Amino acid sequence: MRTGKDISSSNVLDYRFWSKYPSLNVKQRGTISVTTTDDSFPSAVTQTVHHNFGYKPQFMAFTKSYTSQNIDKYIFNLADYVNLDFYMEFEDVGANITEEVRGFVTENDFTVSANLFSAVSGDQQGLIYTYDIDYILFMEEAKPI
Amino acid sequence: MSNYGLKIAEVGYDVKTCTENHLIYSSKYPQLKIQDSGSGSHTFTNNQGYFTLVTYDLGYKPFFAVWIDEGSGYKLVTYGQQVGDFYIGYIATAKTTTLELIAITTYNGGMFGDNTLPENKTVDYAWVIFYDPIKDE
Repeated sequence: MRTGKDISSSNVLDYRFWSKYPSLNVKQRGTISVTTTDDSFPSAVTQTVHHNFGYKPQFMAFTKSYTSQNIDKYIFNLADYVNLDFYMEFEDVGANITEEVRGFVTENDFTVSANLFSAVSGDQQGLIYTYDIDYILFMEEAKPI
Repeated sequence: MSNYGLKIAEVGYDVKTCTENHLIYSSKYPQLKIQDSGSGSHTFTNNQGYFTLVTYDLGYKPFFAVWIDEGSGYKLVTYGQQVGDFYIGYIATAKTTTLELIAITTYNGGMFGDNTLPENKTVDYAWVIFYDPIKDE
């Protein structure tokens, strides 16, 4: 119970743990890195962690974006850790930068993908950047309760 | 005794034999622990800028979640969409002592688009931070 609350309370918010409601149990955590390419019209680069849970777990993941680390615009320089899925477009010196970092799970894998490119006049030029992605995989399956 | 602990299974499942996706709780694993949560509303001038959702003194950058509601329901941030000739997006970011919400408006309409900045925008927000650090050290 939270301090000062009664064990007979029917308000779930009064409880720190109530077995009637599932909590998020941290089954696996770690860091996975993915590096984008300088290809023309680049495809997203993927990396995979094999969790082998046998079901699709709920998850959370965070990284530091290229946008916040490398672009000299005051608003972007404010960011530190951001959560996946991360998607951002912004104009920089006449080019439109697109940044996309996503994550998804299957029954046995956690996969992240990243793409980063600058677009000018119908051309796309990939930018090299390494994303270190910190993740948590929960014991709880991604399913209706 | 080398194998001990507490498990709680979903209704209809044998706690001794079911797979872990049918457990509600297992003391084998730590749980995310909520440190603080809150909600409110904020007006962004021309839908740009940033503000602090909460300050903390944890000594590290914590796991977090932030949602915004522009009028059609809460969406998990990062969230963004194309509006006219602008891309309008929201980023939540955890620093060492603050959780912040950033609004970004970037023009991508080229030479012939309308680069008139969007009007001020008010969004509702909700957030939660956890005791658990993002970086597992």
